[in-house]
Amino acid sequence: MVLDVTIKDDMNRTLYRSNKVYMPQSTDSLNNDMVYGPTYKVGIIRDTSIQPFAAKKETFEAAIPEGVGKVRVNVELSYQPRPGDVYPIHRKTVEVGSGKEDAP
Amino acid sequence: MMTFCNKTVLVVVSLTMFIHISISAASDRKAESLPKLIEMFDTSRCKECHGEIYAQWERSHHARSIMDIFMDRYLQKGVLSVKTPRDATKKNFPCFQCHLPQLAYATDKVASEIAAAILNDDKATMGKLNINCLVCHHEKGVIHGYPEKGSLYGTDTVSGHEDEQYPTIKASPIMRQSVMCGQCHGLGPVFGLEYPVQCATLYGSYLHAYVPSGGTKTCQECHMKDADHTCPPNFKDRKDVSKRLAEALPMAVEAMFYRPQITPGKPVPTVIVETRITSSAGHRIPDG
Repeated sequence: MVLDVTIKDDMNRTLYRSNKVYMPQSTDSLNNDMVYGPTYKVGIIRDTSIQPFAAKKETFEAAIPEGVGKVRVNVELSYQPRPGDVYPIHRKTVEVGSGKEDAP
Repeated sequence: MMTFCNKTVLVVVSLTMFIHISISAASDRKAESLPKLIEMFDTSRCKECHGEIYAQWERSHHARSIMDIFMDRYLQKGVLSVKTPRDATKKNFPCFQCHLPQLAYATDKVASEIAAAILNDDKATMGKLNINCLVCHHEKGVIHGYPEKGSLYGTDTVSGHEDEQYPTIKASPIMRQSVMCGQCHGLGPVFGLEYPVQCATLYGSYLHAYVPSGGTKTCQECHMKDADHTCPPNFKDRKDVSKRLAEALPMAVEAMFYRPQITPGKPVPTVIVETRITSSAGHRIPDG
């Protein structure tokens, strides 16, 4: 499960990009290297998956160049069982302004 | 009065008999060829009376339980690999405890035939090896004791089941309970094998995260609504998977543009994005 956050200006230039990966992560219990595949995994060492009834909250802080007026924030949540295999879940866009674009 | 020693002997004898009986029960119908195993677990006749449910099942992942699991890769590389299909035994298929539990009723020769089918990408044969009516309604239909010969298990007792091999349908309380699905949908690593494997962990998550958080629904309430034997999600139906995930994981987004001034005199234009994802699912998402 991947949460992608992208911020673009009104010229469609990317000002910020970040993501969070939600998944249980396992090793083979022989060392601390994460592995894939049921014949290698033995035990979850870290679990960032989305848990029942537990809200997953994130805060992204993006420093933006001076002089930018409005920006468009795109947030996408998708399920990606394998690289390139994408099941879209949510796509939300929020527009926010610096507050200066309408100033006299 | 029975001495400690006598008691120990009694326990050992009882356990030996128990193990002997359970092994006998399985071994008295071991298939020695793959066609024979397929025939033993053939359920095609079920659709004559249960057409709608059978059609639902045919669209489910249960109907293609050894396809799309990359078993060919495991037979070619790693601890389960073999030089030729002939070298494969039942030990090469720990995944089949769940993906093809029928293998318990077959010899090692059958395992080598299955290895050949997988390595030759023989989809016609692989398509006949699956989690079918008999797996859930007979083999896995009871967990207290073993399934009785000639009996199927359902939510209710049904008299006069028109089938020569399985004339009886008994009510099994587990059919409505999560433990039914938990038999295969995983607690975590599976031990007791030469090499442990770890596949599904959903039932473990259900037991140790969902239930302690106050969750009360069963697996069947979400994944078998109205006895739907397609048991969604069907990962081949990509739109439906996306829709189900969107319903289970509502997401809220808020954003703000402001100029914090942590260093006095040096305001930094900043966008703050807050996201909040909640889950109404009965287990972690994703599993894996």
